[in-house]
Amino acid sequence: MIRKKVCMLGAFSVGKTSLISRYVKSLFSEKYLTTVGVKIEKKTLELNGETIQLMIWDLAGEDDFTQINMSYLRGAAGYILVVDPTRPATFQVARDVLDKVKESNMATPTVVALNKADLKDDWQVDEACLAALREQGCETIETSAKSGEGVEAIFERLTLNMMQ
Amino acid sequence: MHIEQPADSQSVSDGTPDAASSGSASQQLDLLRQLLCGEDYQQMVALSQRLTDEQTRQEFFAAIIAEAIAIRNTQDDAIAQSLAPLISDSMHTSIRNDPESVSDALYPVMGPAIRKSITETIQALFDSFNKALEDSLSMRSLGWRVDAWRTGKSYSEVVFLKTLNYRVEEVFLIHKETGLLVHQVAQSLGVSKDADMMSAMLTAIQDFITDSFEVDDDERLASMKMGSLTILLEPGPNAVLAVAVRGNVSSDYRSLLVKTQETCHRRYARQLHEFDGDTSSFRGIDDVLRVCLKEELQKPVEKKRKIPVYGILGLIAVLSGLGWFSYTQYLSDQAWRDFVERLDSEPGLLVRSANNYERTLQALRDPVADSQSFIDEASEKGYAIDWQAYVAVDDEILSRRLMAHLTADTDLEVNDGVLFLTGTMSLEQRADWQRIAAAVPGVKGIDLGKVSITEGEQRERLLGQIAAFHIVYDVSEHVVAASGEQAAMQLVDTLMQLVDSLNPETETLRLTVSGFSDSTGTEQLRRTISQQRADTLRDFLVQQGIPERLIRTEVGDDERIQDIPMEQRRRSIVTVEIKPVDKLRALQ
Ligand SMILES: Nc1nc2c(ncn2[C@@H]2O[C@H](COP(=O)(O)OP(=O)(O)O)[C@@H](O)[C@H]2O)c(=O)[nH]1
Ligand SMILES: [Mg+2]
Repeated sequence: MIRKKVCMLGAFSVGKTSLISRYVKSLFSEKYLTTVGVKIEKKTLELNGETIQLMIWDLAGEDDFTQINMSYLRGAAGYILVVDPTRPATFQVARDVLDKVKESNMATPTVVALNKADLKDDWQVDEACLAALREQGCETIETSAKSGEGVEAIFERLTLNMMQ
Repeated sequence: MHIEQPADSQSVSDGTPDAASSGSASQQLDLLRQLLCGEDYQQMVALSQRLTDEQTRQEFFAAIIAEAIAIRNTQDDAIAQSLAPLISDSMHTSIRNDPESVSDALYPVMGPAIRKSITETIQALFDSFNKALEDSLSMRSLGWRVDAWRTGKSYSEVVFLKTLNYRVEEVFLIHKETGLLVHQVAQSLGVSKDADMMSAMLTAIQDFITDSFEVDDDERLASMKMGSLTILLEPGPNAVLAVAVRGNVSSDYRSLLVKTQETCHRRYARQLHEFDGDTSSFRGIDDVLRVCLKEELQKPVEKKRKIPVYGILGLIAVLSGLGWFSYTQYLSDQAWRDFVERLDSEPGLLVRSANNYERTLQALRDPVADSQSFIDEASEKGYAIDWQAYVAVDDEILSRRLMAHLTADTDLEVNDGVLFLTGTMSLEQRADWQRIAAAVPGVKGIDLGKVSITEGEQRERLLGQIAAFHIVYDVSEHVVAASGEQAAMQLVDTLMQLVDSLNPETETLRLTVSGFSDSTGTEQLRRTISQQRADTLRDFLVQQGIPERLIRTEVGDDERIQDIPMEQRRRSIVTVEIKPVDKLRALQ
């Protein structure tokens, strides 16, 4: 059994919690976990004949990610960096977060979720920021926590990257 | 000193290039110096260059610095004094900058030392705790009941939990950095729903606490408590050993955790350090962790032996109650058994079956048996008897049944079924008894040997015997032969009995002895011998005590013995008459 810690990153209200909820079946009550400030979910998946268990960490509440506590990220094998293109400002937050994270963990696989794909008509993609993120080695996948589009895909993608 | 020397010459040579560059005057001076000093000057310049060049200087000192310090250190402690604050400062800086590497390095060394001192402290703590516990012992069981009632657990479950000092339900080894579960072992019924979540959350909580309160990294959480469950955490450099415990672990246990933690870090140092979520490389980890799955029963607390007065009194009460109950039960049982036994042994009553619990019995009863006393007793004691009739043949019942036929002056006894009659009865009565004995079932025989007959019959019998008496003589003989004498003695006996049966007031006897002879000889001769024969018998009787006055002799009349063959007619007989006394008196 291989276990991996995965962290959800991104500005508040981009859909981090929604993505996890869509991906896993929740075990712990929201209330209990908010007390500690972090929400952890578990998802077991089979990939290339191997069983991998993801422990997905998500910050509870609406934390300001610019003041992210680094202990939360400690030991993470991969990140899902969520952006809400309906709010272009979240691209910049993603860049800042990524910079901060890469300070300590240069090589940690990171996949960017362009979330709320169901609202694509309202998207205002900050192309400059997006290019910068890609330059840092991040793949991007369009997701929608609402429709489920790309949700499995993004976690599998990240897992594949982590396993290399 | 000789280190300082070149420093002085350096300051001299320092000025030299400046002077040289200042003008031709100095060039000329330079030339002059070359001329004056020759090769020495060249060397001086070279030396000066070496001293000025930083790299050369470093190399110079590097070659001798260790030895120099060593030499100086033997002379005084100046070096130590000047270095101490420096080292101390740099260590602080170093530890502040990278505390983990320092603690990682110290961990294997410090562990055992710290453990020792902590063990002692905890031991003292435990002693006082134990005492407090002992003091509350009297209330203990009561408390358990309250606990059971409060928690809805069964009392025995509470007792089980409480009589355990502690039980380690689960052991987790959690990778410190990632919060991922490395391995987990549990008692058959673990307490955590999900060890993975538990590990992650524990780590998150640890992080949360470290972040929320300004605590140092080495002051991490050591335990968490929720209800009866405690999570003990034993952090190591790369992994946290966490155990879920019920109860309070002993100080030994804490040191076991530390040892296990050290074992993990020693044995799996590389795996823990390079942990990337792959738990398969931790071979044998199960056994290492399983050591921590311990449980410890409470030592029985030595209590002062108080005399349990109430206990003893209670016991006595219970025992005597029990004793009284069983005693009365025993008595009642005895009475019943006795009743059944008596009834069974009572003649004419027979127990067919008895129910000792319901006190009922089925019995057979002969109509002549005495059952009334048993019927009375049974109704008094509440026994129920189901009677059935039967005919008993035991001696007692037979005699009771025959008793009805008894007349006055008679009695009977049955022995082994044989009827023995006593008393006086007529021949007719005897015949009756013969019939009765034959008719009554169970009577095997009758013995009338001891029954005396009535007076009249007695006399008749005697008279009959006398009538049957005779003495036979040889030819021409009148002397009583030996055989005749015996018969004569018998006659006397019979006569005596007859006399006894007489009422001397009213009755008396008259005997006639008659002599006979056969047809041989003359009439005279026959008469003489007949008389002689009568006389000799009379003489014998008188001799035997029969009064002579009662006896008369005669020559018997042949007519009386006609039926007797001729050769047996040589005899004498006695005829007896019972006469009234008056008549006798008159005769006298
Ligand atoms: N339409 C749409 N709404 C979404 C999607 N994901 C999240 N949301 C909404 O965005 C809001 C914030 O989501 P949440 O998961 O709490 O964001 P978080 O702060 O990053 O955890 C919620 O109202 C969600 O319903 C999505 O894919 N499509
Ligand atoms: Mg959220």
